[in-house]
Amino acid sequence: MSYPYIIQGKNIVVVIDNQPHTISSTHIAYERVKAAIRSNDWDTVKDIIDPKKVVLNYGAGHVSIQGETLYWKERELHNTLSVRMIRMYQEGFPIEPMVAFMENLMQNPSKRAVDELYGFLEKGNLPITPDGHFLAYKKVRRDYKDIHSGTMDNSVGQTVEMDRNQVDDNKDQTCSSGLHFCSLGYLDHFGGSESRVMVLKINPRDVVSIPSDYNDAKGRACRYEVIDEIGGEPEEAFVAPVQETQANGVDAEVIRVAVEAAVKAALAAHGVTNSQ
Amino acid sequence: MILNSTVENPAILSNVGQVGEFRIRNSAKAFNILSSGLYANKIRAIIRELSCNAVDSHVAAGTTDTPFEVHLPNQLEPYFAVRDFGTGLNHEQVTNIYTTYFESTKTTSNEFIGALGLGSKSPFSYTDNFTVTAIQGGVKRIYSAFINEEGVPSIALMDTAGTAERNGVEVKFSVNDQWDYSKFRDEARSVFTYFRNRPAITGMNNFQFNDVEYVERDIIPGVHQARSRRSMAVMGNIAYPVEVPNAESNLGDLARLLNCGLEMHFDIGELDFQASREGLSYIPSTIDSIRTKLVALNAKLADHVVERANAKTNLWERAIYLAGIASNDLWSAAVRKYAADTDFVFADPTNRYGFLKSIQVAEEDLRTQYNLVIRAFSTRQGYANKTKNIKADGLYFDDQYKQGWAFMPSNNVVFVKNDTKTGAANRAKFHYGQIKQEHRVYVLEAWDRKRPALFDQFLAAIHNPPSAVFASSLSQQERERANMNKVGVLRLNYNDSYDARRRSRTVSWDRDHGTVFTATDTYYYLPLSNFEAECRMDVEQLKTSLMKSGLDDVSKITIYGVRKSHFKEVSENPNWVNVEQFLEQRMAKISDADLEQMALNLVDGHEVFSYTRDNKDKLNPNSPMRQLIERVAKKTAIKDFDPVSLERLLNKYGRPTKIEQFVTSIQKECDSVLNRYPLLKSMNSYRVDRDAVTQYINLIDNNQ
Repeated sequence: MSYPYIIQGKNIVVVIDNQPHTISSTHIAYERVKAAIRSNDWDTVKDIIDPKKVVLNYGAGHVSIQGETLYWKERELHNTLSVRMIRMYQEGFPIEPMVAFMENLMQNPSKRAVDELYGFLEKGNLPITPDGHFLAYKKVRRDYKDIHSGTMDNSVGQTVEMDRNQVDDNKDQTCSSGLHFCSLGYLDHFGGSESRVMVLKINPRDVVSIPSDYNDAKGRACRYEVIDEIGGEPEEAFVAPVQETQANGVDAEVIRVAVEAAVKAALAAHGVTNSQ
Repeated sequence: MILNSTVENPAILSNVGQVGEFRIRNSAKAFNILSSGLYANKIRAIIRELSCNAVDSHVAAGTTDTPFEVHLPNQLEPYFAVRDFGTGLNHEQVTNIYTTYFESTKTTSNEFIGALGLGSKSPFSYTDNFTVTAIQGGVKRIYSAFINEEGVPSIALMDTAGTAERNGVEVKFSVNDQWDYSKFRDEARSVFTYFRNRPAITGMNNFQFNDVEYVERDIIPGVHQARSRRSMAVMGNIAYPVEVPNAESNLGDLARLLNCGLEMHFDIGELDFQASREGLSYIPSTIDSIRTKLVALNAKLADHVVERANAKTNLWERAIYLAGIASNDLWSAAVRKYAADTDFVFADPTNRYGFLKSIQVAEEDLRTQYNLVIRAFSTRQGYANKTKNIKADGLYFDDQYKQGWAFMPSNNVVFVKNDTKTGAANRAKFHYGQIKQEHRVYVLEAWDRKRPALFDQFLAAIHNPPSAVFASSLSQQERERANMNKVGVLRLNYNDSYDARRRSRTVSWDRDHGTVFTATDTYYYLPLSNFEAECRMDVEQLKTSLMKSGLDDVSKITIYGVRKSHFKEVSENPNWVNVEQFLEQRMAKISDADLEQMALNLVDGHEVFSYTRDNKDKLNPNSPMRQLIERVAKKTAIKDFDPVSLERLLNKYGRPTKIEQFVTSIQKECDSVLNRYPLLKSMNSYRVDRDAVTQYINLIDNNQ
């Protein structure tokens, strides 16, 4: 069965079951709808033409919708995370990293820390990992010791931690005790050019506060793992909303292959086999 | 809306050649100008035009009780749509309306907002493609309107089916950019502000309509004053800013009303507007409609002014009331109309910048007609005791230049009638000088004191100013005891940041600004002669000695320097005391016991006391050590005590004493006690076993 449609520039008009649909690149599955229409795959079109249905399907039972608000298991999903989730869908990642991230986040004992973390993730645009952690930066000395005290080893593979109640949870105390991490915006503010930039993997459970200075660009945690060192430009380190590690230089190809595989898997899940 | 399309001046042709009619080329450019180029604010235009069509359709169908629906774009549903429940459209109507520019079905009635036949195409100003769903009589037709490859708007029927849905039309298109979501929200708030029947909004949970805040509603029916300066004309749910060109010449005094945030409602058809509906078209009929509304408004305001002004029978009070509201744009024209109609004596119709006119009286006439002379002064806002004399001005009286007075009605003007024998002006200055408020005071006095001054006749001639008082009713300055506040005293200041290299002095005499001397507090002074204090000691030494004397009441004394010329005032004030006299009395009161007590401060600190102080209760009550500790413990700590300073004061002011002898005596006592416990002398560490020390003392005490 075929349906009447018009594709014009970025606009697509299609009438399905006596209902007009007019979509453009703001539609969350725009590229897929376009591809499916072109390949006459009307079952897929019907599945993904309604963005709400797409999100519900993608959310795999974790997500519900009231009006235009997304809920994650009865709790309103912060806009930062709903945007992140939609971007993950659009780039073909499975929902599991998001599920893991939300479960970790819910284990954080401080509501204030959780609320502040949304702002940090939104401003910093930092990726999450398949096991539901997020990646952030840290500057260290040439010898991988922390810049502040020069005593903690931050070389790749190290897990650094301290007691949570020793970390200052007051966001207005902008420079205080705790294991600090930051987003790209803060890198230039701290340490000299003679320092190294490390990639940290942080469980959202372990975030204690996001100090209010520097526009939500740095944070304090009680535990993190050092997983990589950035060799090139930090701006180019993270390319996707979900990432295992940083990607400039050697890892770029690995990431590209992983992303492609994930896209294919997601499309296959929707019954699309000959996409792109 | 009925459009006036009759030609006012039809051309009469005679003996002309071939006549060619102008045409419009059916081109992409023309369509683009009509659907996109027309609108400055495209999103607002689309919301306005589609919503007005929805309202019109509800009017036509008689379904105005049902709100039409507007869907605002959001992340999950990124489209804008307007759905009405009006008459709906059949296939022919859709193709006619949407494909024909200037095609409108609403030009026969002023019940409809629309008329131009352009609004339905407005989505093309934002997108190349929108859908129209027309439901009528159980048939639902879905169309896609799009710009074809030649740039010409086209419409395609996409689907036809039977339906149970209500009649009506839905126009829907996808929003191009996620940043536009909030623009659609904000523009919708703006557009729907003046809609009588507001739509049901979907797609945005917390959408709130914009409500105008009014100063006053229905000043006359359909004219409100809002809390903004800009005036708006509202016609058929749409608000147009009122920006009449050359407003002053077109509307005269009424133009100022347009600065008052008026919201004027007009019936459909009363105003002409731009094709974009973004502004009015100021053809004569539009300006006439606006003028008519303003005239009606002003008449109402004028009635109000007449009522309020006439209630004030005193002309000065009336003038003050009128002048007060004349500066307000809303009332200005009405006030001037009242002044012109009543030929109001205090109004100056020639003055564009002010409203009031003064009443002028020549000094000469004052003398001859009323036997009066005027002395005037003004006081200033916020300044007590400051007055400024005002002199008569040179004025023209019937083209003759004379000295005279110009009286302008104001709440600040006061007339004082001198009914005392002397001093009315000074009394008035004192009285009004105490009031920290601006006044302009005219003191009326008899010119020839042998004849009566005709106060009342004069005041009646200038229309009885309400503030006229007798001088005898004013408060009078009492003769005060010498007021030290008015005497220029100096203060001896101690300079903390003494710097030997700069040779600055540790103390200095400074002008004392700001201190208010009371009649009850005690002040200490030194007489000054050529800015040198007359004192038995050098003032620097005196000041530092006082500070370090260890005597509470002495150390904090502030010394003022009084110059010889003011000795009289000082002697009249019992609360001003010569420092040296005070010190003589104070030093005489210090007893040997006091000095002994103070000397204790100088011996404390011996380590032995600190070893044993905490354990003193464990010592024998008769133990000399315990007695000494208890005696020392009774002393009160004195801050900044320098025995040399105290000794200097004692010696200079009549009680020669050697403090050292008290210190030595106590020191001896300490030594004799320590000699009793010889081992204590060899202890010098702070880590001492205190219990062992106690034990040792007890051992010796018990064995002797």
